[in-house]
Amino acid sequence: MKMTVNKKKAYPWHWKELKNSSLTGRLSGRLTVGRGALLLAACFLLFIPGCRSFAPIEPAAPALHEDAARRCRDCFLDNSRQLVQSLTAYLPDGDVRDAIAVMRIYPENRKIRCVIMSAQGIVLFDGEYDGRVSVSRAVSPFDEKKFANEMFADIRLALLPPPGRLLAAGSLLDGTPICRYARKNDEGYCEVRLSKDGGPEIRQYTKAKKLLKTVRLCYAPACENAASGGGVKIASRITIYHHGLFDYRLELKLLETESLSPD
Amino acid sequence: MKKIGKSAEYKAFLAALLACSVFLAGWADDPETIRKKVAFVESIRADFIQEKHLEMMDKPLISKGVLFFRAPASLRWEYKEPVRSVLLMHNDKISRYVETDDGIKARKSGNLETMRVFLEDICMWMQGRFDVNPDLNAEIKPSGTVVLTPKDKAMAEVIERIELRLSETPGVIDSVAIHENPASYTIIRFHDTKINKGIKEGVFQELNFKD
Repeated sequence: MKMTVNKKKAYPWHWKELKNSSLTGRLSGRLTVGRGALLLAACFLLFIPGCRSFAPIEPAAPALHEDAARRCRDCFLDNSRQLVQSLTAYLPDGDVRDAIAVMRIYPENRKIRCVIMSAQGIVLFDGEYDGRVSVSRAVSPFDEKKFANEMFADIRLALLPPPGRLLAAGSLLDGTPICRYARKNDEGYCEVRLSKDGGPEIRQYTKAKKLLKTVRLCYAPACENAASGGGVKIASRITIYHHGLFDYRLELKLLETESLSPD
Repeated sequence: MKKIGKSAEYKAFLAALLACSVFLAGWADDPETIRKKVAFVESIRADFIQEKHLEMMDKPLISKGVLFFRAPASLRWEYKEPVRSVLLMHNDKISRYVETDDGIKARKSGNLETMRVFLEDICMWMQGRFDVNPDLNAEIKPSGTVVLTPKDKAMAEVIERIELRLSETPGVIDSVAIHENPASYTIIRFHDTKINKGIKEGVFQELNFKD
């Protein structure tokens, strides 16, 4: 999930700097050396992830291909479930926000209902994804449309199988099992990496192969201080990293889970 | 028959009225008398169980914790389950702590001040002052319930009403129900309430990482 950050509001100085660092600004001689350095630094930070290219995949033998793909799919929910999680958002300005998230997830039709509330139980956000996002309640700062879209995108990325075409299933040069998908509607790429030591890692890339998000899943008992899925393979902890100039991360810790009848 | 029925209704009405008066015997039913009756309250310690009811959930989400209050305005609102967190108000300063894998961490987020009204209201309620928040209409009902409703329309969209159920013992609130809308409400039930039993000074001090 993603807590929305209105970059223009949260970082007026950064944005002013970048705006003033435009080509027009430079031509008009308004750009100082300090600002130029800042611009270069910002561009450097902004485009470093864009320079990444896909790691080569050693394809699984044809007989093992389906098994490799299945193991990647196994990272995600396959039955309808309710999850109650503690949510901590580490925002780009250093602010840290805590909340409780209740989600109902229906993998069969990719439907999601999500409520975010304060520790005192006040509902801050209540929304649904059913092919499109609808919000029935949102309290500032959760009331921006971008927040709801990004949050549901994060939930789908972390908990539902990638909606797209499997491009390759095999292993990286270091032996890490991996599946790579082309996301639906030409929305870039997604990878599932099955680390041997830790839990699976899910990566989302743009069409230009720029890394956008990384999701790390951790299962009990490897994850301490979190509930287990009660015999069902459900991540006890989910960490979602948003990369870029205003990078931030979200941590979800499982508190309760129960199965639901299909929607 | 009709006459007998009417008489029975009347008796029932009288009985209900009597019951109501018993409910409020501890606190009284007008703001000024209530304040006088709870003026002796210097400190309160109470455990609480919070039930969060959501239409989408089959059963409520349960949180447990403890509340410490010392007049006039020191409060520690602590959740022990499912996530340990502490909200402190003392000497006009508000601070919040959350248990993480690395111990208790202070949260210095910008929205701490928005909690001030919430905490100050609780302190006022503990002193029988239900009508001091100018943003809320306070109605003391004979059933022993104080109903607070937001005057501001925008606030009413977040919280429809708050119901404080008073105990027969002056200074003791049995429960607080926060109704956001028909699909979402929270009930906080207090138990093991102790009045003027003394609270250690450290309770309201800032937590260190080892607390």
